[in-house]
Amino acid sequence: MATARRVRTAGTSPGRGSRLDTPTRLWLLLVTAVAAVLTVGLVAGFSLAGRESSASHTAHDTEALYTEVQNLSYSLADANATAATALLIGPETPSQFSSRYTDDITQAEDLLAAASQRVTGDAYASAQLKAVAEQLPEYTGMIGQAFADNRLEYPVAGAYLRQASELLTGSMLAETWHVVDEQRNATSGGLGSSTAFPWWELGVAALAIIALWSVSRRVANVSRRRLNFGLLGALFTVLVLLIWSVYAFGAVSLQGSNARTDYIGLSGAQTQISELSLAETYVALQQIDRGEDQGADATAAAAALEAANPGDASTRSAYSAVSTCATNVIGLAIHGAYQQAITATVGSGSTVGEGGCEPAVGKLRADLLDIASADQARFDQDMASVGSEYAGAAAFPLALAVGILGAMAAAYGVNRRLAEFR
Amino acid sequence: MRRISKVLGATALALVTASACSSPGAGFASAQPSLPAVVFGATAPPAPQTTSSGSCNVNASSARPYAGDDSGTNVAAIKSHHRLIVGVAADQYLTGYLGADGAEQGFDIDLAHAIAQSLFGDPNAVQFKVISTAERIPDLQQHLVDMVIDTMTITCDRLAKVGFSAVYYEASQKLLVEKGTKYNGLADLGGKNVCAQTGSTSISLIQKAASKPVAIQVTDISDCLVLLEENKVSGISTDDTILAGLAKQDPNLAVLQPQLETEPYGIAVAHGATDLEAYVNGVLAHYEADGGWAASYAHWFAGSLGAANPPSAQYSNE
Repeated sequence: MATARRVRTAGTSPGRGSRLDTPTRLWLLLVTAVAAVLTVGLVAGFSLAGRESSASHTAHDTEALYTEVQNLSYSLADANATAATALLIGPETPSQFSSRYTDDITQAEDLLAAASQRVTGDAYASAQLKAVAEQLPEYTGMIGQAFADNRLEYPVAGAYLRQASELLTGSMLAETWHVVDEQRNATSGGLGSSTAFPWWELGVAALAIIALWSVSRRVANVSRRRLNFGLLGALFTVLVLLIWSVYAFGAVSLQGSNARTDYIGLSGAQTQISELSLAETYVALQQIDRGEDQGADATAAAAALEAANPGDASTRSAYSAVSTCATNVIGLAIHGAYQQAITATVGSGSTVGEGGCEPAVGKLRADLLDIASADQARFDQDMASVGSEYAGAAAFPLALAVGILGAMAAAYGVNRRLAEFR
Repeated sequence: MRRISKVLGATALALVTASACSSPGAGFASAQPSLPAVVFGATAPPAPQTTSSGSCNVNASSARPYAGDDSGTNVAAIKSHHRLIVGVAADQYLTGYLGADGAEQGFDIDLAHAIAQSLFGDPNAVQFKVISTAERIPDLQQHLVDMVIDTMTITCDRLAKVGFSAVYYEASQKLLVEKGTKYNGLADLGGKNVCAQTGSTSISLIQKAASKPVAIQVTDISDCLVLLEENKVSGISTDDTILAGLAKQDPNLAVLQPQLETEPYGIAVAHGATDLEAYVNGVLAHYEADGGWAASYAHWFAGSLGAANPPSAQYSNE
């Protein structure tokens, strides 16, 4: 009672001019402190969970879809390159070419089915993939006819191959690349949002600290007790949430930066593999068309070859071998030395299909596939680390629990003073 | 001594026989072309053609062959680069196409080898440059090729731009349609798509037809076959030699018998290269006389076009 009396006496001064009595003011201060700490907990929880979810979505959905459509693009381009090169070899398609073509088409069908399921809800990507799925039987039909005519040594085989190639490069690959671009942008966006600086948490935490300091000062004025351990505990929890957010940002920035580097490497290698297959296709078409396209195939082959350049030290010699061989072949065909060009492309006699540029192209393709595979593994690992820095799926309940603890501490601290008036 | 005489006699006889029965062009080994010993008079000369560029006799537009004509400027120029550059097709089955080994084959290609044999003593001293129908005249005008042997019809319009040899084959323009259809000619194809090569004489024929079929133009004749097999066109209009090649690739197609127009084939050379025209005409005369033409025709067309003889040679200065 003595305390209560003392408080009442002391409370007249700070409450001067106010229409509220001290207990009511203390109740309001309690609500303010609790609300401030709870808000920080909620904002931190939502933000951490949101960024963790963004990282997880990017790694498991967006980038996975991106990789699927990139692989689809490669499978289609490689199937076409295989068919074109097989026609160059002669009427008897070597078994390794037949099985490679069949594997490419089977893989393209599987990837189309998987990607089509994954794009549910994305009307644009769904429409593009649906168009590719509808054109694939038309493409394989024309290639099948080309193989059949080629076996009979009919020149119409070249016309079917040309039409199939036009369908593939002019329409099917273009549609696939639209989805690749869309998913590349989405993956970049996802990487950005999952590693963004926690400005919201910082702002809300700063406001909460100001609110807690203000509440603490007013409670101290009412009670003339400088220290309120409950409010100190609340302040501590706000600081814990703030430090967690900033620390997580710092940690994921490094992992996110690594993931971005891996992603750029992966994206580049996947594009270069497809371009290498396109270069193979145009080199073969140049020799099949024999210049009737007025040099368009030679120009397209040179452009695709340039785009297939990885430009790094590890693949320099492999790319150089392909570039030298293909440039020589293109030159031979331009100057009308078609027989030499065919031999230089695929070999002759017992090595046909395994000689010429084939070993160099195979080596570069294998190197690029290795690079893509290694970058993919590193990207997956980095994105998993990003998720774990945010405490994974536990981010939201954990942050909320810390916020509730802080709110309880604040309520306890103010309630101790309020009890003196009961 | 008697034995030696017999051996020499037999050798001489063998050489004479080999010369007479050699493969196309083999008997020309750098010999000067001369007038044909035998003329096959299978085709009556048609009436002179009249076109926008005036009237002309397409069957008698070329310089008469004469001995010693390889000293001419154009022939000497070809000899100086040690190979003959010939513009040809790559997808015309039976006339000019790529064989299984990637080498050019066909009726026109045999002729190119015969000319190379005559010029250089080597039938393989020839470089084939595949060109589209629309490129034939520009390539000759720019001297990108020495000559074009590509089922090229001699017309008055073309004669104003390039020179031609004497007629080496008298083709006729026909229609290729699916077997079992009701079409009997262009008159039945009113409003229907009919395919032909860009720059060919067939295009104007389709466009001028009273039934008004729709001309679909493609670069390669094989593309026409694909379009017909895909039912995107109802017929293909071109020369019977080319149609025979297309029909051979698809047994469900048939060449309609009514003849739309006569197409005299000539070897095209640069405009004004009369020495080259004369030289080529000499080679042609030999080729026809020594059985080279007949052997080549029998090999490529006898099964599909029936028996034929080379056209009778006529020259502008006759």
